[in-house]
Parts: sequence; structure tokens; C-alpha cells
Amino acid sequence: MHYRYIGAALTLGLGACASTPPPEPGTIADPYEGFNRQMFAFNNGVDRYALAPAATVYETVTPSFARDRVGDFLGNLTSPVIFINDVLQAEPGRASDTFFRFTINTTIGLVGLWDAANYFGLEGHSEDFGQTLAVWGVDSGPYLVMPIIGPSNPRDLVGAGVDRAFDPLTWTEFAGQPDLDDQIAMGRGVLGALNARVKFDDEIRTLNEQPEPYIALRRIYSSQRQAAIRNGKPVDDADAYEDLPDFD
Amino acid sequence: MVSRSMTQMRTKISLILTNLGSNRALTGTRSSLLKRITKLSLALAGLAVLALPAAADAKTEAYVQSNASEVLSTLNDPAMTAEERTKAFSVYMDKFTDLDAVSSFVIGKYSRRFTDAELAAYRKAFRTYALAVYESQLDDYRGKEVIVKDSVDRSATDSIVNTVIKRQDGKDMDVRWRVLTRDGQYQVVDVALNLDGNLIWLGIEQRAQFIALLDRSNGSAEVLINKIEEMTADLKSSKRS
Repeated sequence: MHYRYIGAALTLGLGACASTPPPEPGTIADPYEGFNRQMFAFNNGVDRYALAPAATVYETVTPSFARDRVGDFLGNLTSPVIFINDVLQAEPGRASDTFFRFTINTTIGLVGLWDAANYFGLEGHSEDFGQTLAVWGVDSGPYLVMPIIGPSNPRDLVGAGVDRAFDPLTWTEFAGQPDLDDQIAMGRGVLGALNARVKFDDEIRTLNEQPEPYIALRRIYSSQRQAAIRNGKPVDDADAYEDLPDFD
Repeated sequence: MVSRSMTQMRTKISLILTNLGSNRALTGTRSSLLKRITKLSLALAGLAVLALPAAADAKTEAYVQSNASEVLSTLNDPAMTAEERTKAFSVYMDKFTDLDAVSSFVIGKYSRRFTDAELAAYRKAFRTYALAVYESQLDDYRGKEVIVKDSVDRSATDSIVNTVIKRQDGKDMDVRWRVLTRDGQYQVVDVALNLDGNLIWLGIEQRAQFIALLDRSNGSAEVLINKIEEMTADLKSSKRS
């Protein structure tokens, strides 16, 4: 299914390149705002009528301890993809952190149920192929909101597809149980979505209380991705303040 | 203080001293003495010019240090009731910030398009909202000390002061204050939080959303005011609960 996203992303990206002027500094290219707002409204509906109620049930029937274990377990499963992207970004220190985190958490952390590495001072970080492409100099393309997936852009959509290809679980087959890998993938997706929905409940409520939630999410997504691409390193002060609007 | 202007000044001073040192061989002749005097005068003049923004920086930093700490300690005064605290906070914020400038900034071009009556109604609604937002946002940092790290001048009257606020969980919060100088008065006009390298300016985020809302409602002041009042009510009810 991700191949369709890649195709759509490339088509939209190339279309945008041909039809829109370069954005002003500090603004986010959003030539498909009409479509994006419709998708944003659709996703809000899915959240309001399906995901949020399901997450409320999930929160009621699971203690926070269990949700933390689920979070740690699913987080550990992403380590191989993070490791590959650390390597592709030529970040040996971060790659080594990810490697040892995965080793420690899979063994001492009981197949990833506990983030034991964090206890030893090895803090986790996230990486994905969208960030790797950015490090390689690929432009993000226009802002996109995809159904269910949410905020994205052509670069991050391609990245998500490649990350799936990097994920060993995508290629794992179980002898005599041909459907088990799909069931695991689905279970992982559903649990991940429910866990994240419970975790970010306050943030989602705050977002929905904003005067323009669509604009707020567009800005926060874009700036957070930029910060993630820089691995959280601050922008030089002079650059950070250059584009600030004047008050008078 | 380790501001950019200070760093530039230090570099300049060392360059000047190096130049003076390299010209020692010329001493003893009249022309060389004149040259040295001229050079020294230029150096002193250069220092005086460079020292001006640095001095302005020091004052701006001191302003943020004392006033931001005072605002946070006001929120933490156990002797006050909730109402008294809100009132005292409001008085401090009026001294500390320029809410009229902020209210115009966050609606951009619409500050010139609103009628006087619309602008007055909007400013009234915005003031109540902004005080509620700041009180709620800064409440997490009540009683904490603001430690000034350094500052950067965007211009002679527009500076950013970088501070650190210690948190209970041990993670320092990187908070930046944009300070404008008008008629010799300092006023904070925006605050930025550094969240894992993502610098979020509260005023600029507000501006993007307010302008988008106005663009989508044909510049209707009424729509914006209603939205602001709704958000204020939400904030106050969440504070009570």
C-alpha cells in the first residue's frame, strides 16, 4: 500500500514544483491547502468518533504500567530502522547508542518490555528515512495531510515507505502460519495508535482548542521535523533570529 | 555576559592590541608618535562605539533577570489567594510587557483594517486572554529563578535575552525573551520556548493562527473576538478544574 503513497507523493511533489513560486522565509509551502483541510477534517472525525473512544476504553482496561511496557516494547522494535538511518546519516555515535540500546533492551529489558538502556544512561532517539533524505539535501516538498497518516510531505511519505522496507518484520514469514506476520503488523499498528492516542491526549485537546488547529498543526509539524533533522541541535542564534517579524 | 556584541568587542580589542604591539619599533620618531596617538584615539573611539550596544545588552539582561524572576515569584506567593495572585500578576505583566503592541502584532495587517471600536473591543478581549494564557503557561515555572545566559541584539532597540529556568524534574528549560526598547523603557513582546531544538515563539504562533482565522472570515473582528472569548473561558474553566 505504501507504494501508492510514494506514487501520490511524487506526483503531488512534482506538480507543486511546477506550479508554485518558492515560499517566503518562515512560511510553509501548502499549495494543496483545500485538499489538506478536507483530510484534516476527515482525520479529526476519525479521531473523534473512532480513535479517541477506542483509546478511552484502552486506557480504562489497561494500567499505565502496562501501557508503558507496550510503549517500550514497540519502541524497541523500531531500533533496527533507527540504526540503519543513523548509519546512513553518518552518525556513528548515535548508531552505536541505538545498537547498544537494542541489545540491552532485548536482553536485560526482557525482549524490549523495559527500556533498561535508559537506566544505564543511553537515551533513545528517533530517526527515519525522511530525516535521512533531508540530511542528504532532499527538499521536503509541499505540506500534505494524508488520510489516517496525518501531516506529512512527499519526502516524509517516501521515507515512511523506505522505513517499512528497512524493517525486518516486514520481511519475516512464519513457517506454517502465512497470515501471522500480517496479524502481527496489524496488532502492532493498532496498539501503537492506541498507546500514542492515550499518551498525547492533552496535546490533542490543546491543539483542538487553538483558533486555527489546522495552521497550528502545520507549523508544529514542520518545525518539529526541522528540529528532528538537526537531531535537536539548536540553530545558530543569528540565523534563528534573522527572520523574526518586526513589531512596529 | 557572553553576547555576540561582547564577543565582537573582545575580538576587536585583541586586534587593536596586536596592532599597537606590532608598531613598537616605530617609537622615538615624531611621525610614529602621531601615528600611535591617532591609532589609540581610533581604538578608543572604536571601543566607545562597541561598548554602547554591550551596555544596552547588560541593562536588557538585568531587566529580564529581575522582572521575570519577580513575575514567577508572584505566582508562588503562598500568602495570596487565587484572585489576589491573578491581580498582582496582571499588574506585573502590564509593567513587564507591552500588551497593546503584542495585540497589534498578532493580528498583523488587520490592526490597520479594524475600526477603532473593533480594535478597542479586540484589545480588551485579547488582554484578558493573554493574561490568562501567560498565567497558565508560567504557572509551571512558579517560584523558579530565571538565570540569564546571554543575549543577542537584532538592532539597537530589539534584543533577545536567552535564559534558563530550572525545573523540578532536573531538566533545564531554555526560555528566550524578545525585548524592545522604546523611549528608554524595556518591554518584553514575545517569549520563545526551546523544545528539543524547536524554538516556539508564542506570539508568532498566535499571529499565524489569528491571521489565518481572519483571512478565512473576511477579516471579521467579531469572529476573532468570539474565538478569543471562547478560549479564555476554556482556560479559566480548566484552571478551576
